[in-house]
Amino acid sequence: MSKSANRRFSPLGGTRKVQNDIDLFFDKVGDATTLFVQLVKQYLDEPDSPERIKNILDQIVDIEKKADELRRGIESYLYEKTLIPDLRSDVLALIEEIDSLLSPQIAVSYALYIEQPDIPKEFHRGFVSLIETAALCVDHLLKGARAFFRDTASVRDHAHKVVFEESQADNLCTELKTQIFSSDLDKVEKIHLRYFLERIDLLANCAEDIADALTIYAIKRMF
Amino acid sequence: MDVTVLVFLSSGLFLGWSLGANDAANIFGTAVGSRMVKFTTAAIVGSIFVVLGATISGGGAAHTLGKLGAVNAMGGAFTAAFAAALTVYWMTKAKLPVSTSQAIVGAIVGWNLFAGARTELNTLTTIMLTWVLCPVLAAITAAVLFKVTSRLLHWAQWHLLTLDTITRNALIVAGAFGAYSLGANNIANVMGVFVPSSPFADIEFVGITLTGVQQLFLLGAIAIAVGIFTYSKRVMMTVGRSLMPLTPVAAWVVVMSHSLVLFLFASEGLEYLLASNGLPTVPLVPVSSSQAVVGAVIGIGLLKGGTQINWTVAGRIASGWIITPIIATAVCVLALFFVQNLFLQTVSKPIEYEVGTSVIERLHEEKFPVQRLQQLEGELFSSAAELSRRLNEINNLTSEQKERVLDLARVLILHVEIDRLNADLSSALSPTQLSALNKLDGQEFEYQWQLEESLARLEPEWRLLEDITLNKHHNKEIQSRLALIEEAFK
Repeated sequence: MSKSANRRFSPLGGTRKVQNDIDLFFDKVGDATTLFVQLVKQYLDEPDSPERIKNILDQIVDIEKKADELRRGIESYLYEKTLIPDLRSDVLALIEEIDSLLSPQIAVSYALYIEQPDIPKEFHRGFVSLIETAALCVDHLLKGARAFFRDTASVRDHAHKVVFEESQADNLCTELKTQIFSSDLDKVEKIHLRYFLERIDLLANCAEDIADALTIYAIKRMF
Repeated sequence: MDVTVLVFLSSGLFLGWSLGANDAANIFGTAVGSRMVKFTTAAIVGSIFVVLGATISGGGAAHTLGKLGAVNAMGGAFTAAFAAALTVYWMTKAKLPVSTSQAIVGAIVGWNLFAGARTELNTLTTIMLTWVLCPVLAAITAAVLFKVTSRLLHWAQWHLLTLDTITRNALIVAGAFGAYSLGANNIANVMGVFVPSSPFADIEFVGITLTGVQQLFLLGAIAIAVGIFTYSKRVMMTVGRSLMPLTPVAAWVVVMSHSLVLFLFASEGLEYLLASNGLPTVPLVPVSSSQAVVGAVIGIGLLKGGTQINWTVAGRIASGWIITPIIATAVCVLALFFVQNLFLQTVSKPIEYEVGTSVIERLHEEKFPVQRLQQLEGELFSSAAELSRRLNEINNLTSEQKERVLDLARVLILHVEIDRLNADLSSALSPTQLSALNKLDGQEFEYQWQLEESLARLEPEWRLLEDITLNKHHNKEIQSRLALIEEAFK
């Protein structure tokens, strides 16, 4: 179909496309997080198969690029068409902040691929729990962010779940750190593992910060 | 058109311009200030609908102003509008809340005082009560509309961007309605004083007849539109950014409530619809657009708990109800003095009063204690004020009784000469009305009511019905025909 045939009159103008792009952007961040969990689990299961890790890592990087493109497109459209003038800065900040969640995920993925830390079997369960809890934080945050655009009243519920899961992640991280530092591992290995724990926990912390901001944006969006 | 007519109309046009510059901001201020709607869109929509509102529905509120005082000379109308404009200008400069409606009412009362004409206390009280009623009604409307809209939006769960597009379009529609209501309600402020001395004859244009009054209103509305285009942008930006930190949806609720209330106080059609369904009606009076907006904002504020409301602003508005008309009255009296004595212009045509035998007889029929009026019989009074003074000297007369004497004693000598009716005028009357008039050919009447009663006796189509809202349209129609023939037979 030609481009001009696509340009039919719509009472909602071009906003339908941006709405889809925003949804797509959240999908991308969700997909990247799922892959990130998968990557960590893969590393724990088969630490000696770097090509598999690289394969997942490439997928995450590719998704991040697409998410960036979507973010830029959304930002330009909102500015060019002066849409939602009263909430534009909040929406743009929300999208930027959610986009920034991809950075710690990519950083941890690269570090696992390059540094290949030794993670003893007894800590595997703890690592999986921590990464799943951090991913849960991101999931709830994305639900909250989607609700911000359609159903402001439920934003609070989602934000609360983010806060709850973040404190769970903190507990898991502390517990795991205690176990690691009371083990027989070398000091260097302990510190190396701590780096990964803290980076994964950072993902949950970032999600919580964004959830706090989201609650305020939602209050401002109330009619 | 005579150039002096334009000179005289200039003060009304200036008042119209300032109304456009200021009050358009109440309608489109939040939308333009927050960049939800472009200024050009707002100005075009605002101008078109102000003109439509003023020309189509402007008559109702103007009629009430006319009852307050009929400024019967162009010089007087010019001065009254000028005094109102000056009051608005001064008070705005002094950062005091001001309303054109209140200023023009004050100016008309000033003209009445200067010319010794009657100020109908009932009409004045009705008008002043309306000023209080307007923001209260706007607050209630806004609170209800806000609640309903919130529920609806919660239920619809539109995407933020869909809501944004819908709100933009809704703001334009509400703005168009607001501009229509503003034109309909406030044109009386701008051109109402010129109605009794309107210099325009009816014209027909592509099959549509524009009456003299409609032409006057059209001219005033164009002045309002010029005000919107030339100066309202600045005011809109101020209103949008500082006075009303509202969400676009709340802004829509405010504009809609304002427009509904202004429409309620302007539309004869709506008044009839309400009355015919047994619902209460409000008097058709020019009200303040700014106060309707502030009332609506307060309404939403109260719904949200009332903590955000600036009660000082509310207090300042209430003080404006009293201060503005008083200042405008004083300015008008002073200005009339100068225009009459310094510029030697006619500011009022004398209206004489005489408690003649026919008046006494008529009052006697109404069981009026006429013996108290014997001392006034045959005496000619040069103004309503003079007769009022004499009536006040008579003990035990109620204010209603005094008003009734003033109603009947106004002298208007009318010679019924059918030849004086031109073709246009004859065609405005029904055949039976014309035949009743023919029967009175050659007769002379000292008072207006005598001719009216004679016609009513001869022909039911000349009869006024009971003074209730449902009969208002019928009565207004007859009264306008009576006014036409009286003008011809004067």
